[in-house]
Amino acid sequence: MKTILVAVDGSEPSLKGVRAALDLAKGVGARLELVYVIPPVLLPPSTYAETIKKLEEANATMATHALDKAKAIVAGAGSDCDLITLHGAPAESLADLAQAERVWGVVIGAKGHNAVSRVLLGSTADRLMHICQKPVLIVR
Amino acid sequence: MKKILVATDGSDASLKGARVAFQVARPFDAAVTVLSVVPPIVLPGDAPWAPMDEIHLSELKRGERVLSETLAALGETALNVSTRVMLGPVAETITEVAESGAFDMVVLGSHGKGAVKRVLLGSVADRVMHLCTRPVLVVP
Ligand SMILES: Nc1ncnc2c1ncn2[C@@H]1O[C@H](COP(=O)(O)OP(=O)(O)O)[C@@H](O)[C@H]1O
Ligand SMILES: [Mg+2]
Repeated sequence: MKTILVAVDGSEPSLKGVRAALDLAKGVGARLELVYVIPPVLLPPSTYAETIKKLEEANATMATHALDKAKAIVAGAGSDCDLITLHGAPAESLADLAQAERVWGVVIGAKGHNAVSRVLLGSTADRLMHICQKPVLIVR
Repeated sequence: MKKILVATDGSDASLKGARVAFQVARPFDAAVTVLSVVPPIVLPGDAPWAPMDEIHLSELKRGERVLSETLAALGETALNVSTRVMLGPVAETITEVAESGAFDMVVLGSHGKGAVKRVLLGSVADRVMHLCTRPVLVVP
């Protein structure tokens, strides 16, 4: 069975994306894989190991929290899904994973947590559009 | 999912987009509108002697032909399908139709006719992505 990747960062647009992905999945006969990408953090080399550990823990907590919220929406619709956490640049990581044979396409929110309200399209969605070789659904 | 808009310029990618739109529409028994937009022709200078009405009429006929070819390629369907040809700036017109008609999804091909293979995203697709506030699915 084909799968649809849903980029989830816990933001409202990404949760709307989960709902839209359920419809799309019904149409094309696919199941959902919810994906959270932890972006690399640039830290000065002098950063304490303890600080790095704390940051990594915070990231992992955020990922779990976002994926759980999204999974609850899928479960609420009576469906099941897989959860995936990746490390890397978000758009590139999603586009790479989308290359897999099983993947039909990707659903992404137009904006995430840190988009300026003036712009209609956030940078991750914009970048994904330009590099992804499978269908991409942008949700607002 | 009640109403799906497909924008087509007769390209392979937009035909693939139309196929996906029909596929998604089926389980929801959604209405599909297939839209072809004819960009107004701008002649150098004022060209007051140019028979603009005639030129635009024949361009609109070309749009009609794109639509009938698209429907023919898709074959018989039990779906509720309608077609529309409009004259205007392409991305802006697609966006206007999508928003005023409150479509649940807009489907586009990633490229147009005679596309440069090097770029992954065509200019109309890119522009609609940035303008449209409805969910947009781009199919390569
Ligand atoms: N004149 C048009 N009318 C309707 N849809 C169009 C028109 N031109 C482009 N599109 C839509 O936009 C998609 C992308 O085309 P476009 O962005 O124009 O690519 P390119 O820059 O390669 O021509 C097409 O597959 C089609 O879905
Ligand atoms: Mg074009």
